[in-house]
Amino acid sequence: MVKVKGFFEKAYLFVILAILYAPILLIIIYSFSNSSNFRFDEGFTFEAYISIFTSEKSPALWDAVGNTFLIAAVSSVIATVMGTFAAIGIFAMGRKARRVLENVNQFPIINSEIVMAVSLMIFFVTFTFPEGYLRLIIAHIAFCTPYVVLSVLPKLESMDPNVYEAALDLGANPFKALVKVLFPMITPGIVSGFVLAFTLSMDDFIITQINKGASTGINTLSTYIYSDARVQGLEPFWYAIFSIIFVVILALVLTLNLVKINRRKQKAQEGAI
Amino acid sequence: MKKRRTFAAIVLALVCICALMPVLSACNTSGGGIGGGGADTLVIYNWEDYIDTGLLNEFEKYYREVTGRSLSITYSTFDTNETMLTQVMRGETAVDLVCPSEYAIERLMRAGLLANQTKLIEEFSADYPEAFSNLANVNQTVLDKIGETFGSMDINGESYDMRDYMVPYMWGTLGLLYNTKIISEEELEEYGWGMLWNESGNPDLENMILMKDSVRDSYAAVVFYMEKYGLLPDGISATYGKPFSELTANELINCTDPEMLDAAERLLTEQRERISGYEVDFGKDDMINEIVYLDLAWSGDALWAIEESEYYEDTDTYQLGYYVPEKSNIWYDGWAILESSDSKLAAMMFIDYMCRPDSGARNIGYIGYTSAVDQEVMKYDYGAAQALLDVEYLWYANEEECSVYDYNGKMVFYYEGEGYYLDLYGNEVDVEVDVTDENHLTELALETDDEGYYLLPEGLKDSYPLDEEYIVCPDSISLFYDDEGRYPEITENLGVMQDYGAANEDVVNMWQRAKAGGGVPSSLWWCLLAIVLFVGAVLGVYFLKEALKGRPRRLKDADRK
Amino acid sequence: MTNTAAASVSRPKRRFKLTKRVFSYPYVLFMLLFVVIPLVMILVNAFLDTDNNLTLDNFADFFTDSSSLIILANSLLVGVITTAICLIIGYPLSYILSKMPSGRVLVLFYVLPMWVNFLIRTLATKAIFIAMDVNLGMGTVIFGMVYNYLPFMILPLHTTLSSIDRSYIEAAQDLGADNSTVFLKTVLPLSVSGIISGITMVFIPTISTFAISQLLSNGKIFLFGDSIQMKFEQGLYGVGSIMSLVMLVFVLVSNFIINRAGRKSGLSIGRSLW
Repeated sequence: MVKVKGFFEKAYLFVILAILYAPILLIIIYSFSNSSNFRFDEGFTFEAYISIFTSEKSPALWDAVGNTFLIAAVSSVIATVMGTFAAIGIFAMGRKARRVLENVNQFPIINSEIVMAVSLMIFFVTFTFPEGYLRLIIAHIAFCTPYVVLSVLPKLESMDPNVYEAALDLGANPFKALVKVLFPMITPGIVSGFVLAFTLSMDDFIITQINKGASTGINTLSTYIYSDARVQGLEPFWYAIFSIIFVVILALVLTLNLVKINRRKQKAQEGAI
Repeated sequence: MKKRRTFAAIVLALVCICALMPVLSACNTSGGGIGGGGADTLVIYNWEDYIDTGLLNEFEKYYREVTGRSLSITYSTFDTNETMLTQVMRGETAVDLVCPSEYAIERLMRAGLLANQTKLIEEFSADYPEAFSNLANVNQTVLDKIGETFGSMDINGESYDMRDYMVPYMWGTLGLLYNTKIISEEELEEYGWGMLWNESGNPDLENMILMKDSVRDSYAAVVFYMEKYGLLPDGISATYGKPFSELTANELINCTDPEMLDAAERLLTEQRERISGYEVDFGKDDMINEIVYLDLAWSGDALWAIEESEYYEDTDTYQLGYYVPEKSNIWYDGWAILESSDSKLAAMMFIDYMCRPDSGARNIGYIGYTSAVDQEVMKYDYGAAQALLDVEYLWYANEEECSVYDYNGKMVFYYEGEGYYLDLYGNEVDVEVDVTDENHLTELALETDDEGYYLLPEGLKDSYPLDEEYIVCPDSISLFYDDEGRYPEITENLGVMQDYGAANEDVVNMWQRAKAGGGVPSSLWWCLLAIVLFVGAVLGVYFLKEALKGRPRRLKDADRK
Repeated sequence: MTNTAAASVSRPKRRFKLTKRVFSYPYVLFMLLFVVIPLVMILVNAFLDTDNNLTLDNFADFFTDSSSLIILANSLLVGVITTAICLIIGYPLSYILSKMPSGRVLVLFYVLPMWVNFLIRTLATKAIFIAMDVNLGMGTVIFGMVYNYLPFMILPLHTTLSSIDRSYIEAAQDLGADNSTVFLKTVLPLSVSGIISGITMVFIPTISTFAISQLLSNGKIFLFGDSIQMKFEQGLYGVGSIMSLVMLVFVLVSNFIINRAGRKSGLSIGRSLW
């Protein structure tokens, strides 16, 4: 009985996973077809991968890749620093103030992206912020930081407060206590917050599209792919580039988790000994 | 204690700096943009995918040669005229040069945002007399057609000519992209725009039609449809002071009388139920993949799609065809310089550069739309021919398809199948074949390579405009420049779009209503209502319970303390 | 726990707590400047016409225009159905995952597809539908939405479900409850906050997204997000702002519900959001 149930559960997990991955599999398969309309006219070929470097549009593509990573890196670093300190600050607050702040903090997460994009656009236009990276980075920080705060706070809560105080009592100055005691304890939260911020910033479309402005010509991957199809259909290299990104991420996640599992096993063995 | 406070202050300052870093860094980048080490800047705001991007770098070089100053171009794109208008009319964007359609240029002109180019040229010609010679290459018929509509615009009591404010860049028509296997030309000729409403009753076309997700184009299609089928409202148009049925093509697409909008909305709503959907980007791919069979399309898109589509050798037809009904819309995209620009010289020179015949041909090759550079100029230009050769719009002459004669000292090519003679540039030559002894036609024995392509004879190398070993097939030149799809005849029946002005919002709302259709079927409404009520009730009960529990819990909290 | 200046003077340790609070001020300032003020500006914009005069016309325009209301209704319908399906699919999934020892890792695989740009994923989905000869319409749009937003349901659910103390369940079983009772009386009530954040995280983006519905219905289904985007694109800021305000009302209601639920379940506010 239990076994049958287990089987159904696994089958369910698998079916959903299969559905989720079907379009992605399709993208990877058709990245070898050098066409953008899901046909295999030319047979199996690496043309699409080569055209990432050789296509007439590859300068624009690389420009977009550069912008995407630049904006994601800058805004996620700033978001992480600001968010981590904010979390420490919020953690130290009284109940009421804390509730209010957590409320404000979760607002951008719940808020619909288009409303946020549009509100920022009106704001930037009214106060004549210079167009370009400034607007985009501010916008990206604004929607990334709350996630950082949310991933750091639980780590602070699960921390033993006495350790930090003990460090202070033992004569460490607050800076040392912060660096040597507090940060190591919340590092996992900071890292996951950073990764989350980076991902979200990289993947964002609506906010970037509406705030990129006309006079700078900035495109990220998301906005460039959206505009690319206008006259001549999608370039085949899009399939190639997202296949690469996906495979890299998949490999990264797999190895990280394998390492983690191995370490846990080792620890368990050591514990057993 | 003090130490701690200073420490906190330092950390605070660091975090503040982090928070302000984007501001600082952006100040740097924008500073670099404007200063840029003393380089001039030019910000171009153009349609997406609408230029051979190589031209941008070449223009930078050219600019340095002419003026001695370096130039850095920022190239930015928009996807609809309306996006461009919103960005530019807000007045915060530091754009120098835009390339929208004629009605958007009209709106910019009426807002007083554009610079008078004729005056600019006068001003700059003093220093750079040679820099604006290519502007004369623009197709005169195109300019005339623009002049007809926009030659004397009345803005605040003064008369303006749009041709002083824009130089046409690309132009084309609105028409029907169709699948040749499903739709015959006779059908198209008979039903015209009615095809979009499947007036022919073709069962294959039900739910197989795509409309443009664009207010202006769909409105043009629906008014021409109404005109052809007598569906125009009765009575007299308030705007034009004559019966609706007597409006010209131009007046029809620009008429925003409420009666007209109502009628259009009715037909568009009706159409919604019978078509596959609305698109701006993916229609071409869907047509090629035969997901749909009919698409409202712009000429350039259509030509691109036809080339990409399958070619059936047995019937010598393509899978797709493009048809412009009797009355249609002709559109122009043109370069306009913003009055607020600080780089008017560079902008004006760029416009001139775009009017070079080779630039025109390269853009045609890259975009597929019809350049406003006169085809007669491009035909005899080396650069233009080379550009078209590169993208295989032109090809070399082969002895299999034509034979070469000398006719009164002139080289002519005879195409047996077609029965005509063409000169080197694809112009038809009227050869009087005289079989008497005074025959001026002698067959030439041109050298060919192994595959039968004619090599260019030594004697011609100086006069022939192409720096090639081979002779370009004259037939390919005439096929290209006489192609009706690419160079349609500009007639009265092609209307030009004008700005709707204040009525714009009404038209947009009409379009949104038509696209939204009748909404949700009522059964689904009841479902929705039921779900909402259920969720509401559950939440209500839940909160009520929580509220009742609330008090004791607070007590407990107090105990804990 | 409330800190007063007087108390802090007498107790140095608290004094330091006070200084630590300062750490959050840059962020508070940032949020005030770039989240709160822009939202206030939308509110202001809703009452301005094109010449920046005060007016109520925008409200009239929106609430008397049948298409806006139809679009709103359409969006709500798509949103409700999508959210329901996501919950129905996502809850058992997260539940099963939370019971598995490797669930924490496995759940990542349900989130990974988000790394491929949503536009290209949607195009691939469309290609599959076309290959299967499915008519594009309401059904395909809902599929696309579910596909896109399922991870947003799974993550918060998984977080809450896996944080449930197993001993509660064991206790209930020891007390003689059968499986369904255990589930209904312990697991379900304990995961309410996750359900609510999941619902919010799916519902709000679904009604306000653009592009997905357009692509998967060939532009025939026009949702609220599309409409907001179109209004701003056409330069109709007033009506666009009204529509954003309507959206904001939904957001605020969700925010309120999440807070109430969060406070009760003991999980700190919004913690289960992500």
